[in-house]
Amino acid sequence: MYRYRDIFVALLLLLIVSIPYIRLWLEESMVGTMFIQYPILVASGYFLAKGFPKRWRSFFTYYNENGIAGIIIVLCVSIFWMLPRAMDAALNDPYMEMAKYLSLSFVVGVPLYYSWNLLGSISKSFIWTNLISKIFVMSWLYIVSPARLCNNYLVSEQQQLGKALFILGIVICIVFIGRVFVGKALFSGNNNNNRQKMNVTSNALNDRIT
Amino acid sequence: MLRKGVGILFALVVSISLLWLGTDGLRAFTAEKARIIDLEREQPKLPSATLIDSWENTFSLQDLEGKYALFTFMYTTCGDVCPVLERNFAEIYENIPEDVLGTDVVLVSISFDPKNDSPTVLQAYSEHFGADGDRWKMATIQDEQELQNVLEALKVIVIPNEYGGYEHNSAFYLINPEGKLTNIFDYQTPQTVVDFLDTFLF
Repeated sequence: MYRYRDIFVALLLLLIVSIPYIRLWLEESMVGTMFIQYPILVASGYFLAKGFPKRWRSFFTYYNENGIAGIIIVLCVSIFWMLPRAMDAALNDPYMEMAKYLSLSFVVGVPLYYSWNLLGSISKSFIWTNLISKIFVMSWLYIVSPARLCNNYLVSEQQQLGKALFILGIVICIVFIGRVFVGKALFSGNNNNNRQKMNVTSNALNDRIT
Repeated sequence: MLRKGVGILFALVVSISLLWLGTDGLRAFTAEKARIIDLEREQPKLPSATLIDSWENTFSLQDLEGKYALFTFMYTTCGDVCPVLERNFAEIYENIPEDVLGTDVVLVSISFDPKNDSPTVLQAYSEHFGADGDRWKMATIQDEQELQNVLEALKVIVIPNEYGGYEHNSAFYLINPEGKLTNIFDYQTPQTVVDFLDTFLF
């Protein structure tokens, strides 16, 4: 049963970011908050959902057959927590902090698991391309903005975050481009099966890219 | 198909309302803007505090009642925003007509760094920006508690930075004759303050 392993991983991740000392350490910098704390919270929800019993699946996908409804919620809630205002609010108000922990794990992580695999390749590519452009726009905004966007952070930290976002964007691009060149060759010399193989290959490529 | 549609519609409604409420109707993406919207709605009254100006005269915030008062918050060793803030404040000072300046409107630059900004330092700073020390005062609040009360009431957030200075939010604060904060203006556009005062004062 890998189920329990997933639940264990999820709870462990949630526990780690909830330890007051680690929480304060991560929230001291914007990079720590956005690059470590947020993804861990989302990941904990994701693994938790992975560990849910199979029969719960129908409950989560009843109104979410193609994954689009779920992914809309995932995107909007994560965008909400990236608003400078919400980041500030979570630091100043313990209730907002609690809401951040609960929503990033249960309202982002869980539907992410139940939606991502249901999405078609077009939706997936759409989300990836959107994400990449958004990362670069945000990085530019954070680097050049002369005004402090978050009242709890210094301008220098904001610029660090901008640079980190830029690097992340570049890395994602390199991974995507790299995948075009590096990968298993799926063609074979057998002519009779070539047509079928071609289809398989294009499908495999599609899966690979998205 | 229907279920999918219902799901997507529900997700859209929830998401859009979350973002709408979370940004005060797409007006406030940063805490700074939200702070301004809140303050202009609440219109907090100034707490009592005693200031000491560049002539070493003491006066209280309540002494300013009966006139419109424009405030800025700064410290003199500040290297980035404050000089711009004060230069723009000087622009307001120069553009307010002589006949109302001092009688109907006063300008006060308040330093939140009383340890460094003694009256002598403030005097030099006044001269640098052309403040006369009367119609445009440079002052500081020496009592720690009173200073905190004022910063708190106007929700000015000041955090020490790694260079021994401070990061703080900058704006022009307009206090009405009853001693209530009514408007907060962007420090980069001093002309809007003059235009605003012009509508009822000049």
